Amino acid sequence: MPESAQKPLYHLGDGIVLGIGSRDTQLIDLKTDGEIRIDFRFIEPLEKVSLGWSGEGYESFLPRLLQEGVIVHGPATTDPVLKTKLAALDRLYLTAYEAALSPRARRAYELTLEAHGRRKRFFTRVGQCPTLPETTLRRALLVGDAAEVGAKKILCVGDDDLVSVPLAALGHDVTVFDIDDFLLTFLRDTAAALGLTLQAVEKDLRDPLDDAERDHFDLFLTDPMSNRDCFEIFLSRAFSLVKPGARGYVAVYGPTERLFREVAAEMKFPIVAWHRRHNRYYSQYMKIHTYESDWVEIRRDAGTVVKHAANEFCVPLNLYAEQFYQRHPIFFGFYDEIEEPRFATPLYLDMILDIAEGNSPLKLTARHTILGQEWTVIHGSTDDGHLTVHVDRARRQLTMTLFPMRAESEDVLRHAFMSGYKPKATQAKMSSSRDVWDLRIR
Amino acid sequence: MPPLAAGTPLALWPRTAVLLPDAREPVVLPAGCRAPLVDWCAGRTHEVPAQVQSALAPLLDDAPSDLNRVEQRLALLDERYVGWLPGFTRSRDPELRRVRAMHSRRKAWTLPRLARPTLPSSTLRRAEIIAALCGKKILLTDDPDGLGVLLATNADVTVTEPDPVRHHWLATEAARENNKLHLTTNSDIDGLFDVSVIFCGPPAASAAELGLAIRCTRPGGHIVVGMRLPWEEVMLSLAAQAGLVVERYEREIDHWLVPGLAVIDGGQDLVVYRRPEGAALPAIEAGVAATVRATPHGVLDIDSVPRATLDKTALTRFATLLAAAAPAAEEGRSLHGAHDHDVLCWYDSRGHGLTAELRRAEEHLLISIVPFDADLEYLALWAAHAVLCDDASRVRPLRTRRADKEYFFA
Repeated sequence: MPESAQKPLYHLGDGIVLGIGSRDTQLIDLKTDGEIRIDFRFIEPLEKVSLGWSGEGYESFLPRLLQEGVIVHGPATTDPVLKTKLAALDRLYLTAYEAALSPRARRAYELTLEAHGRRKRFFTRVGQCPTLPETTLRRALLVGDAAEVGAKKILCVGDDDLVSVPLAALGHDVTVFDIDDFLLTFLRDTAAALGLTLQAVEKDLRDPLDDAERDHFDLFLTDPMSNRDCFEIFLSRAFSLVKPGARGYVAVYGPTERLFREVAAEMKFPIVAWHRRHNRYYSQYMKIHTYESDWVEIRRDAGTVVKHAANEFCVPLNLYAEQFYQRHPIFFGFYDEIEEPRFATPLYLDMILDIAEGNSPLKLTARHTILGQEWTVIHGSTDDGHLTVHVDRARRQLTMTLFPMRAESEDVLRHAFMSGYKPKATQAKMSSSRDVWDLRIR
Repeated sequence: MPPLAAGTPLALWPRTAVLLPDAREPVVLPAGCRAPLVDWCAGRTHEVPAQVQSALAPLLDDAPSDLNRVEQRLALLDERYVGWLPGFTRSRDPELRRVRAMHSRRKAWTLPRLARPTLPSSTLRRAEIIAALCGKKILLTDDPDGLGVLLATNADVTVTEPDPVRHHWLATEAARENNKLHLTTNSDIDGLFDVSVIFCGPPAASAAELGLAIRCTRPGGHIVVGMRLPWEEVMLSLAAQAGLVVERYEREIDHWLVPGLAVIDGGQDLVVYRRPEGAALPAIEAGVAATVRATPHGVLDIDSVPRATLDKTALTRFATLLAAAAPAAEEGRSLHGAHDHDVLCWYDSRGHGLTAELRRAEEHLLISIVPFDADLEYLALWAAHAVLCDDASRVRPLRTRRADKEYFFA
């Protein structure tokens, strides 16, 4: 008798999601923006409960988790908080084309949104970052409605974007190969709950393929990490699994377009269409991810060669990192309404930079001044970047740019500029993102 | 010598004329060429003077006038950038062809004012949204890509366009379509419109645009705003304080084009507001210091710079083009190199400029503009594409950070 028939089930409460990152794991409450850090020992039971679980072996924790709303009674279902938030994000793009959707495409979208609203675990550690439900739908629409293009045997090589859901809703015969058993269980449960049919198969792409699997599918879709190893292994396996002449769709991060074209030339497959900025993603916080990718249509040609033979193991070195430049943050310091602009001349600015060089790791290998009537720019190169100081004496504004941002150097420079030009500052506002640190002092 | 004609790749920047050959880098034309070329592109003369023709002769062999080539390139870019919209290019094929043909007949690129030139697909998408709004009397305060011509097919459209080259192009296209497009160079518009289309810029410019739109749009009519980074905060705040009501938010509808037909990733949103009775523009802080205070700096990231251009020579050519194109003359520049990167610092006589760092191993160009200057941003993107980039190079998306009240990035 299945466990569910014997014991009551629990699932994560509305708005609660589990985020498993490379450094730590959190339970995130989307209703309050609260986060609780989770000990690694509790990851597995929380993954299970996110799918709907009895909590066997953890019974002593259940009353408190129930009391705090982290879990609630019943099998897993669509989370209304997630669904509402995702629908709002989808509106940013969906409004541009929803009027043109057929009734079947609309239903496929509704089912896709339901499916994404059921997913309560985000495994960012291995690069999982799902596409918005509307993007998932658009991927399926490029394949087409089976009622118009005929039912295809489709392979999803990995599917944390849940593209199998709209493809199945549009009438295709869909198989998912994924290494993540949680995702496979989730897909099977979700498909059953939504009345869809799809096959979810545990598969490590590094293992050799079975002969029976080869040349089997009409089409494949995949969203690998954008690095050479990933492109080569995902595409080698995909090309071995689809029939000759079959189409494929691959997500490619924009800055790696050149790399992908190199791989295409080496593996001798044609690029049929390149849709830039097609794919929009979201994070476990139900916000749009700054990352986005292109969607590239390719084809297995008669001359296409694979980098990894179907019957061989392959040992990639890099499966979980994008192959592009993650630049260091740049620092901007803006000092408004400086108090002694007559001292913001090259002579004094040079003295400040001398002080900064003497009291911090900052070392300018070259220094150059550009001088206008009312403004001065002092620019210096460092071993790993640059410093630019721009001062407009008429407007009484000074801006400093430091790249890359180095906290020790910035600290000394800030103290020096504050002492010289803003001793009576009344406001300081700091904002930072991955790319830019922005300090404004008035 | 091939004749100068529409389709000749030509840019008429504030102080110089630049030819944009396909096969090689842009060529800055001799000092005396710009004025006669402006006259010719603005329809004031029918012939380019002989001395200009002879100066151009050796160059035009490499930069032939070819409308088909321009249309084909625009079609490719449309497919690349609007391919995310299911079935769009297929279902709008005749309309897109019409817009591409119109864009390809532009005689020259000039420095944009508030709005920037976009892909034909962007122009068409905006036209469809605006045409669906109630009312047939429409005002556009800027029109670098022929939106007014498209709207004038079924509406009475007034366009403010002080740039003589764009003005002439729009007039010619409207005449070709035989439609009701009223062109004016005067921003002091009189009359009441059903729809006003405006653009955001620095605080004073945004306020001026919004003030004009409130004054010229009938209560119950619509104000359509092109919303762009980094000024969306300014315009969204002004519009909210003015009492305008958001009816539609179309994200990243525009993809900007730079001469040489390169596309910048990201772009501009389109916000449709309803103008209620009693809407009033709030007071704002004016002046240059306030403009800088609102946007003291800007950053551009360009990835996948080809290996062949990762050196000081390319940065020098970038600076030369920027110096030729900038609204004010160059005041000074410095170029330093280290083992893994080169850095250019360039400023004009107004004290506006940028620092550009080219990192060789990372194939990356970082440009910081201090103080932020939209003209320099556009020209830097053009110059970078012209001398440092190829088709696989990508500008990290320039996009707004919020829709109305909602910040949506993680």
